[in-house]
Amino acid sequence: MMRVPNDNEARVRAALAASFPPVEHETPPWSPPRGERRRTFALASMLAAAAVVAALAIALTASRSHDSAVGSETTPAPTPVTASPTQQLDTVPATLEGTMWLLTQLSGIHGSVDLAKDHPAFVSGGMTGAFLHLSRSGAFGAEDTVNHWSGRFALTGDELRLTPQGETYADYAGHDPWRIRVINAIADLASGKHPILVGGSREQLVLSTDGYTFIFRNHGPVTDDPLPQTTQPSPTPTHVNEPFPQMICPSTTLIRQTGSDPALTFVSKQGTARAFSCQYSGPGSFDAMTINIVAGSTSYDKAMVLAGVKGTVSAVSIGDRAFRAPFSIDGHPADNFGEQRGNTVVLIAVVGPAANVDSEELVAALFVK
Amino acid sequence: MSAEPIVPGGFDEFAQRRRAQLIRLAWALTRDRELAEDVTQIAFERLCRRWATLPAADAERWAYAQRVLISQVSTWRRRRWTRNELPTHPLPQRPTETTGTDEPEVLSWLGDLPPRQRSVIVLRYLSDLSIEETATVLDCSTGTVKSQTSKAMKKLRLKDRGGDAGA
Repeated sequence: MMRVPNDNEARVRAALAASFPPVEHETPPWSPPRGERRRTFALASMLAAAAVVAALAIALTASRSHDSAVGSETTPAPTPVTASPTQQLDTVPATLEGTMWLLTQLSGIHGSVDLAKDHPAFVSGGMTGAFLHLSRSGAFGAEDTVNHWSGRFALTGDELRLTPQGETYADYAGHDPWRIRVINAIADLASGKHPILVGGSREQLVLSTDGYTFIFRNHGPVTDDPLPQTTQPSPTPTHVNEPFPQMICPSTTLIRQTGSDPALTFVSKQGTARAFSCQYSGPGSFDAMTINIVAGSTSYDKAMVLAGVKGTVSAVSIGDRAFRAPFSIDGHPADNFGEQRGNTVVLIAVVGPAANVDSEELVAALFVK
Repeated sequence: MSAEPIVPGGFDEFAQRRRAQLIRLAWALTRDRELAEDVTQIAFERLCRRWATLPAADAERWAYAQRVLISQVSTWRRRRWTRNELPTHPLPQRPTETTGTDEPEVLSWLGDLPPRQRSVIVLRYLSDLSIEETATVLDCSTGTVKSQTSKAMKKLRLKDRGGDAGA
């Protein structure tokens, strides 16, 4: 095809404009990304993280006299956080290990969040809390209200180091800035990239790292070991009133779900509804998975029906390695996202404004074969 | 569950206002709509972490956001081998109407360009930035923008000649 050489610029403009039209807001606005987390187990990332930790350890030693944590090249300089006398990082709580610590306050570069004061439901110990727990066997677990981390920890003096070994990959589809701050902060804490200064008392745990200061409240003892169970699960789904792990499906273990309710939980601006039941079929792969969701409240019918609640049955076929495709349940369209990474399957269904619902619903479950 | 109001000039407001533009930019750079949304999310996360340290002027923030996005696209390209997500099914792409016969050839040319030249072309001819604005976003000189543009357009001309020769 003959071209007009002098018209190349206009030609490129026209082609680009036609090929990449303005983007409509088809998906929920910004929410904490998980792209970084998806590379958690990549060798290069782990090596890089190790290098950063090593560099930070040197820097931390030099600046131990300061209460603020050490920054890194990937984050702005930390904002010093003033701690009350009871919050000085001078004593490692005797109850540090074996306790479920519930986040009540957070201070960081984006401001402070007083969960106990402004969001009391968040610290009620119910379904939406952010937790950290360190078992006596050296394992840790962390919850940011959407995702869960697990791994090992080492405590040297008042310095805590986390080595994450597994995490879930759900996205938070909401818009609450304070909750986004919590999610980002817990993600930073659990990433293991920064050393953590530990202080507090028997009832209060204060952690300082990478510009953040976390204040946790003693929420009672936890049972060892918080690492995801990988032994042969019970063929019968068990619903124990603990946030995780949950034995859900034959041959699978649910290690994280939205909220801490044993039922799969919908979190929305309207509140929370409970739902859940899951069946898995297929001897060697996740070729077929049926999710039965039971509405907890008729007030959520509008949203629930889009997630298959009214019909009580929704079926999602999970591909061999990954899938990401629109699907419909009972004839109602919904967006969904699911992936399989190794032995782990992440299944997320999001029902949002695109489905003509005035709230965004997030359903997330992560299974380990 | 309570929601905090969106503060004008704050990060949330910026993210909502600029999100579509950033996705479009990432889309043109990656030619993958789904990937573009992922990269944009990562760019916003980076931006959020540095928000308190950014200049107050919206233009400067926007230039920085585009720079972060372009950096993330390059990072994704370099680390693509580490990704363990291998789709076995074709990922559904949003339908795009093609109206001009030039589009496939131009897109092919764009895809073959080195990252730097591609960024320059997309910023100048899709985002309609001036040479000076493009230089600001890419943190380079205006001379570099001009030379990168010239090299890229020369490749397009060579591609056309090759097509003609073969026709």
